Amino acid sequence: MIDRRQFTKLAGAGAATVAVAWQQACVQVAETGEVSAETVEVLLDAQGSRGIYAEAEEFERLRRAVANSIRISEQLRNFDLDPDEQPLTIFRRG
Amino acid sequence: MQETLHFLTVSELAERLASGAVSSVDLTRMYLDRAEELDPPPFDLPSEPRTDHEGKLSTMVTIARDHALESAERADAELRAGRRRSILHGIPYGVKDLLDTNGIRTTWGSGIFRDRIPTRNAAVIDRLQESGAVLMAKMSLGEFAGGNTSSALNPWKLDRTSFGSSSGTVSACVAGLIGFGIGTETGGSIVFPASSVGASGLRPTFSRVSRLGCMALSWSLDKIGPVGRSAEDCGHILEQIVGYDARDNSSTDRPFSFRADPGSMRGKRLGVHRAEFELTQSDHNRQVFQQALDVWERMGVIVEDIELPLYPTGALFSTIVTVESGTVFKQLFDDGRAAGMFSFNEDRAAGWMAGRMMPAADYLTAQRIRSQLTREADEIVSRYDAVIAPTWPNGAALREVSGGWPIPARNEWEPPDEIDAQTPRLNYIANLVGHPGLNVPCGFDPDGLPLCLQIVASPFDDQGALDLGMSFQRDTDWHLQRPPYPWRE
Repeated sequence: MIDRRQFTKLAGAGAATVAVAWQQACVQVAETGEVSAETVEVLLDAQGSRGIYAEAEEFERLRRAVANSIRISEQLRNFDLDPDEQPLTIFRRG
Repeated sequence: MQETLHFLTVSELAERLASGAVSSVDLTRMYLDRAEELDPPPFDLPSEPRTDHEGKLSTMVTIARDHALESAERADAELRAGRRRSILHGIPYGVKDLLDTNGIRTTWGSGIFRDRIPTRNAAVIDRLQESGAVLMAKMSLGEFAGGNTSSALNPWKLDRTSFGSSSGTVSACVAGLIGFGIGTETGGSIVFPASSVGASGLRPTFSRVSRLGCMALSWSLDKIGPVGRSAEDCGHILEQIVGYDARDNSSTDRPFSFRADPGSMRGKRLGVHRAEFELTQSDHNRQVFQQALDVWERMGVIVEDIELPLYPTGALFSTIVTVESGTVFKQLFDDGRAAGMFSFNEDRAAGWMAGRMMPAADYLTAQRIRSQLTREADEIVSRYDAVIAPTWPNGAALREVSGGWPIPARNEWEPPDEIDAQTPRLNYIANLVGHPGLNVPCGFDPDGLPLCLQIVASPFDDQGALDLGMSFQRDTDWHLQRPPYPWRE
């Protein structure tokens, strides 16, 4: 049993691990065009069960997909955006 | 019964039903018999690749014969009692198998859900039931509304794609297998398939039609819309399915009363995204598109070239759809059912999982860019009654086969990753910002495949797009051309 203080610390560390892993993945894609298996494992485990990605062939597919997502995100991060622009978190017309 | 009856428009069918020239039961039986003779559902959601369709279009996953005949009998009884619910009263229709139908299996095009039988109707199905229309079939689609596993064949040529997603609905409509159809669109899934087979299809303004009971692929992008044999059909159908629904977060309370008379076109302004005319290598195709513009000019429409902004539309779609789909289908990954997805969809599934891993900041960045694009696009389109471009620059591509699966030359889910001028930009922008878009046939390519234009109007001016489409179809008969189907020796 952990107390609230320990939980907060662990949860913070968990979130930081995922954020660091994504940053690491971004660096890896920039340097090698790929994401290492270890980094994808950290990202995957943060989602819960590995499910179908416990299998090697599916895991490789996921590794490529993560690298592709990072390349796509990079385009968006580099887009010249008005600083006042707000996100359409609920897209509603009218 | 004359075969030509199968190809009548909604208003022509309604006229015959209202006058008693044909009953709903007769009409329904006629479509059911034709479907069961020519296109019985062989489409048993194969988990193994299958390319041999034996000349069948494979437009239907399930034919709901008993349900359809019961509904038709009710429709006839009401007509006899002097009650006509709407222009759709008694007309049989097919709906993409993405919308829940009470007691009738709804598979989302996936073997994983081959035995899924909902206990409720999607809001659109309830509205159509209220309008007296007769549900007769659930139409085939790419698994989970994917654009890549083109499930139905193209009635114009067997070796051509009908795109994926709403392919069953559009092919059946053009082949005279249903009276009208309902499709869905996230990034082009009504208008692209409609273009490949020469159907009239409308992507309504985002939020006009409730998505309750329809599989979500992307909450912020999904739309449901009509497919018919004319622009006027689309207007009549839209009128019956629109309406506020508090159960759909994005639903808006903007009434729509369809006007079948487009009125005079003189002085209307049409913006042409000319850059997309150059996406084809074919002079013939460019000429076809130009001749279509000439039709409007002769009516007195002012036609002007416009520029559309270059945005990373591919990256926006990829980010928004993979994050939202990854969230929607989380359970499939957690319990391992994702392993049952068609082999062709494995990369797509991996993309969804990668989307789940993406930092929230990247998703929000995509939605901020989309917000900026929305304002710019609204401003451009507001200067015109509508803007227009080829829906797809060429006729339907050869069905390539990859891993045993027939696929279109380019998957609608895969606009180029780079910011690239070489895309049907109007379509992708209009989808991202929620503008209505109407696909209208305007000629044929040198191989005899339909070519079409997409008319895009300002948000909630669906009528404006329909007016331009209806006026074009009053001066031309491209929408009435019939494919050489069935292929009888």
